[in-house]
Amino acid sequence: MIQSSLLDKLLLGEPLTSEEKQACIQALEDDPDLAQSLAGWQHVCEHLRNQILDSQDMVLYSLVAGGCAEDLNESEAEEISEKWRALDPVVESHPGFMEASVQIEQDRQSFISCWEDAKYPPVIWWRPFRVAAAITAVCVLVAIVLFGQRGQVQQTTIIAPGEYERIELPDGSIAHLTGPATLQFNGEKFERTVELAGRAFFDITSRPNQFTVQTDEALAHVLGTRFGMSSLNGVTQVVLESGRIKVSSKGPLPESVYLSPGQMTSVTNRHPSSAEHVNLTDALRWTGFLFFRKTSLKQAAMLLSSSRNVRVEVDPLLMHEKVTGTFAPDIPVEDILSALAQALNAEILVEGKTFRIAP
Amino acid sequence: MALSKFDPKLVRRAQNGDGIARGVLLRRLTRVFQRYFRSKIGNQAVVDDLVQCSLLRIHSGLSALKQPEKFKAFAMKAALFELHDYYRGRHSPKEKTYEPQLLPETPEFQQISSGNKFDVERALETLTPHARRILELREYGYKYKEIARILNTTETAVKMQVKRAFEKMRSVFVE
Repeated sequence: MIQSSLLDKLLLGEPLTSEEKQACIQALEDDPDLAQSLAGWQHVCEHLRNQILDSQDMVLYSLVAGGCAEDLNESEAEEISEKWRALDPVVESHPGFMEASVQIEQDRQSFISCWEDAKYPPVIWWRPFRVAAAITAVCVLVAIVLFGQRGQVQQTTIIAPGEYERIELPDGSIAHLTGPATLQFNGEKFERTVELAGRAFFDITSRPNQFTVQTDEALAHVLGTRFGMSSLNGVTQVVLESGRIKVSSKGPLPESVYLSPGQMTSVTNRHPSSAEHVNLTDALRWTGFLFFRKTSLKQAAMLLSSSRNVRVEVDPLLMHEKVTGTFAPDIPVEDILSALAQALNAEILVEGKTFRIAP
Repeated sequence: MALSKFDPKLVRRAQNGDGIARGVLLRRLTRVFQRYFRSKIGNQAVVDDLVQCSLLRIHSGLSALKQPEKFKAFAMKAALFELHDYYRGRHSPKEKTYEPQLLPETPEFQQISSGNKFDVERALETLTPHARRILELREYGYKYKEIARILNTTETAVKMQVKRAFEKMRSVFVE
């Protein structure tokens, strides 16, 4: 006769000591009916285990049933959708299914709570930036207090329509002016602020303090970016090539938009338009810059030919090669071709006034 | 300028091979997973295992995540999959009642271990829905005290139902 405590342990799946195992073997030898019943019990448990969904399907099904289908990715949604019909009879024939499903929904909710409540340190790589920004801010403040009374020396550059001039600013930033254009800044005490009327492409060096370009209509605030800006006929247009830029309208209630690379905004009547994607080559054609962004070599050669008034040919084997790069108007055509050839491991052949890019 | 908790940009940077971004992401997730699994499981060693397995899921699946803005759902599923895999393994029987070492080596007992003579469905029909619910929840991996909480009863009552279920099915097994 088996002890009831030992039978309970077997039924409840609790571990047995070696003495209890021996006692169990002896009891089963003495009582074949009990041995048969326990074997049947084990088969029932295995049968139930085989009938229930695997844990992954169970979680996904429960998320959908709980109204969180958007948490599934495409392939998961597809998989569950295919299985859905087969799941209905499983749900109906297994009374424990719904309770298990509700538990998973609660598990989901508690995960979301942990997610929302967790505290995080700031991203480490921004710390030096913040410290530098704070130090710079203090230095600027001190400088204002100490030297604020000194006179300002405005430096002005005016260029005629169709002309181009490259101006290096005191902080190392470059302004490529395309006439007609006027650029003004304080040459003695440069605070990374310039005033622009007309058109310019800016290549701003990265510094902790922002660089500001003012036009009659707008302000553009940047840290370190490349962008084109034009202020003509009451409209300021900004096209961003790289980095990030904040463009604000002037006035008592300024409105702002942020641009990502390849986006443009226009500011008129104290209102900036929404950022829109543009083709850099087209939108910044007036700058005289060449913008190649995974551009085929064939197309790059055509743009180069038309903008620099030269003839550039490409070997058929290289026509579909892609090139990326930005070339200012003051870069000689030979240097541009040399850079392209180097990137493609090609060579430049000069035949009279024609340049040929060959493998 | 600091990126928010799990900014999609941070996720995208990690996806694009930015080691620092991936490190930040996994460190932050570790905190969430630890907090979550501690709330579910008492055993710290099990919590550590589950955290590691969940992070491994994230690490190996991150590049295939098409929508970085769904990173929270991605992490949540990783945690739930691991938790429920663990649950399923938790109730694998410590002692099989018909393991060879527990059964006499006679032809009669060998027939028992083959299981062919049991009508499992008929045995299950003898159970009340309540008893069957308890047996199923057990196979989903819930502990008796968890089943008691789910069914708003006591652990003792749940265990009693298990024993009664065996007694009810016994007549079918020995026919």
